[in-house]
Amino acid sequence: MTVVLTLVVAVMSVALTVLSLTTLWWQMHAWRTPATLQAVGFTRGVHRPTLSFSLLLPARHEEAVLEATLRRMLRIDHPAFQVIPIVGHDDDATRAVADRVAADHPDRVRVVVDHNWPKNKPKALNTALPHCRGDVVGVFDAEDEVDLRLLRRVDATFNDTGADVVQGGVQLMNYNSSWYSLRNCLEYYYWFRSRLHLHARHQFIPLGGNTVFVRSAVLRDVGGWDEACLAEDCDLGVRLSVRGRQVEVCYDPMLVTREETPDSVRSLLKQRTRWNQGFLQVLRKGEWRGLPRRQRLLARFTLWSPFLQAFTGVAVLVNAYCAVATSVPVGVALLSFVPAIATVLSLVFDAVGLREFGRLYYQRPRLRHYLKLVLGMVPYQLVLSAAALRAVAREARGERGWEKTEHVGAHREPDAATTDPSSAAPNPAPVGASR
Amino acid sequence: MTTMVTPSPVTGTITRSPVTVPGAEAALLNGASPRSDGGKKAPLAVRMLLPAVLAALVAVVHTVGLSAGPAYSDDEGTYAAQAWALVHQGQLAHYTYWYDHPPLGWILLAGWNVATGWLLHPATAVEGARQFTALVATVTGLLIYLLGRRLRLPRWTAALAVTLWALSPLALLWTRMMYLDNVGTAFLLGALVLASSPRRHLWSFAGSGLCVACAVLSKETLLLSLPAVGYATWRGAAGRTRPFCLAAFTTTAVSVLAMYPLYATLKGELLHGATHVSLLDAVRFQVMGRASTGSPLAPHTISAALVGQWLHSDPWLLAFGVLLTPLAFALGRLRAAALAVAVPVAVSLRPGYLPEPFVIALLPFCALIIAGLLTAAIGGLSRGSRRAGALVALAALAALAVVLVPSWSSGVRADTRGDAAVRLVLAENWIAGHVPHDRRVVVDDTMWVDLVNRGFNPHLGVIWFYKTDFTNNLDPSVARSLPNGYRDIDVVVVTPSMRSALASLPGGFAQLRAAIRYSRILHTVGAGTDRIEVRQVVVPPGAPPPAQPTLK
Repeated sequence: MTVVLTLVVAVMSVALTVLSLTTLWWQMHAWRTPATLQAVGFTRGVHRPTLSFSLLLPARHEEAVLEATLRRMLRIDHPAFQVIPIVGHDDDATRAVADRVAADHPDRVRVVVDHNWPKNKPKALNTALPHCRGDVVGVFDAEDEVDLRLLRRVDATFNDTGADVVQGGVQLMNYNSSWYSLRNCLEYYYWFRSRLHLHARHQFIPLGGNTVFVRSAVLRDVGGWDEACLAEDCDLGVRLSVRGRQVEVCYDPMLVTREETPDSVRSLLKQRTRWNQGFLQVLRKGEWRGLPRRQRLLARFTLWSPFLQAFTGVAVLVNAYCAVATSVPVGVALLSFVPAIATVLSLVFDAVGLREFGRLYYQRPRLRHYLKLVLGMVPYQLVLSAAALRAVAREARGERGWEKTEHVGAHREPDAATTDPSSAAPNPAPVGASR
Repeated sequence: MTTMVTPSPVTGTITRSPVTVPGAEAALLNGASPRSDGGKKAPLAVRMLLPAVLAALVAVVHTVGLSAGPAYSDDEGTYAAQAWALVHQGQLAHYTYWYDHPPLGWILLAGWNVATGWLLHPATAVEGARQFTALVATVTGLLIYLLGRRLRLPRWTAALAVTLWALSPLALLWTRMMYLDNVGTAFLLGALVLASSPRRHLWSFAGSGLCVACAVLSKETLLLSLPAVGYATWRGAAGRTRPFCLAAFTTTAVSVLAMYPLYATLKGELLHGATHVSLLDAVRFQVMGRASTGSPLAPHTISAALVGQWLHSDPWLLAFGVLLTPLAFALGRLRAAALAVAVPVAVSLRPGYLPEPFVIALLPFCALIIAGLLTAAIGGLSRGSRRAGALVALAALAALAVVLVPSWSSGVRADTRGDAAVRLVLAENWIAGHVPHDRRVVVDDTMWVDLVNRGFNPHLGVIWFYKTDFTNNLDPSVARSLPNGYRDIDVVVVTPSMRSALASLPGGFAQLRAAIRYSRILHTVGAGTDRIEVRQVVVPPGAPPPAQPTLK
């Protein structure tokens, strides 16, 4: 019995250490060296814009936030772009908002009505694709706060690098809203500031859901978005990677698209379930198998990672507990604590990351935020684990409906939000689109 | 509640470091290091040639006459035996491990023994330990070179640092022996090399933290080198990634170090207890309990004698290194090396316990300081002229050779010659052939593994002499198993190191003294102070009962 237990603890410890360190290694990609950090920004030079943009804005039951988003986007300082809000045929409230703005700006705004049923985000995007006149198609979400200087920078990046795809940064901002929002914000920070760059460098990238720009011809060439996939953004990235399309990831703290965290643990759980299930679908579709060997390995690990990662945090604790509470030799018990070193390291990086996040966005994290960061680690990890389990269960049962994330405008400054957050419309059915 | 973020397009500029030239940046990303001299990199074969020659030099001076000199020290036997216990008993020591030193050094030695046991067949266990030490020394030599290069020394002065360290009779005396300090010093140099990563790589700093923790887990006195590594990390991590680099270094170092108290906790031996040894008691013993050797600055202290002995072996490397340390503080790149010398030296000057191998961790940095200051001096004297620089360098080398070659060559010969090990093996052979293997034999630590390998019982059949009471350790297990004290001992093998231990602690080792007093010589190997006597304990009828040893 002791021998079996010893073996289990030993193997678990080694596996967990390797797993945590790999995840951490990738998470910290941008800070690997000062030169890497320098390289992850947008092109800094001044360029005359040469491209035109079609900005897609799928919106479902988003009448609370859509108008502010649209009116802000219309102030973008680029000379050539159109905005295409996509609304459902059954969603009159949102449509009314979109039409109102379109009436004020007929030259810039074109409302597209999506008649598909059941509805989801990729279907909405594909419906709008034929209406895009720009050289480049960009995707945003209804609650996004887009920086007004973003398009010029993206334009310059396309020109400088000859990329087919440019992924800009997205940042959750309301780190003060709830116990989990702090961790959620940091997750985005690491993902867009750091991890995606590594993917771009190794030419396998699961794209983000918004602030993503694709040359129209390239997008039409791959047939737009996969309407059956819950992570259409990730899927698009994988398909473009397989075709060897060049993806540039650019993060500039001042140009990120600002978003809000899910408004409750329940929505967080639903959102994560959807992403994880989407990753599972992409994994099962198997298009990533067409990649060269090194990228295939990265693809396999990345698509698996939500599940691996979800359990690492919890497994580290369980493993250490097993080793202490049972009668394994003291050396093995000691070994079971080695993965905890990676956990502690990641926690300290989080604290430093929080400080840096605060500096970039003019927020000063207080002691209570650091406490939240530490105390929230295990519960947050538990939510992620639950979402991973739920995703597997739903996929196994064939439940593939969209569980939409609610938006209340918590990422905006008070006068920018058009409506009282509490009045956001509840979402009755697991359909709709936004991420 | 919600916090609103102020998007500030107007004031929204953040300070960024100037844009790097794309070519240079690409070179940085591709792994090239920024070069101070702006020249092209030499081909790999050329760059490897010098380190290879240096490694060969170090390996040769550390393997010639492995067992001939210096004479085996008791400590070497201790670590060889503890490595044996790890391999054969799965424990950190064959007696109760009482946290005298952290165990990484002999864990690695055990690994070496397992890995090379089928290939190398050392005549004695200590010789095997010295083979491992030769490997450690070779790695140390390479790390000194690498650190020199990372401190922006030219190749030849980096090589000079290695040569000074490798050929100094003082360094050689201590680095040829299996001391934990040698293992720790290699890790310490590794930590400094990693902390001086030219690309300032994040994981290099995590590696540095790991190395510095390993250094302390090899030898606790290397805690004194933490300021040096801390400074090197701070300096090496300059730039926008510094907070993350410092976090990586500190967290790795602290959490790896924490494994040691964690081990004690898991064994229930962290805090003092009546029935077991503890880490806390051991720390208290090492810091406060050991008899003071006095300050080296006071006349007639043991410390002063030890320093005198160091300077007698080699008056140049240590003395010049320490004397030049204040100057080295003036040069930013030498400051970490200066700290690595200054802090331990400052601490050793206070009256306290000065461990014999303390000097080991100082010497590589003395060599680097001398080489670094020489480089700076030549740069200053030649004022940019290559020809002048070469002339000054040649003159300096010639002067060094004139001073060092005569005094060092005799020292190196003394360090690498001797026949102590021969007498030891002769004595072991005689014991194996003439003493019944079920007898209880008290030996010094160097013989222990060899006698066990020849069939004596590792459990109280062969016993380290200093375990017979609590004069010099806190482990009660052996003394408890010998309730009749010296009457429970059959044979004592009196060696030079046992005699010197008895001489250095006049009030100690009561049971051992009694056993020797009531014994007769069975066999003698050698003569004079180097002789080894195999003595049989014969207790006469009127002998006093043994005083029960008590734990202090």
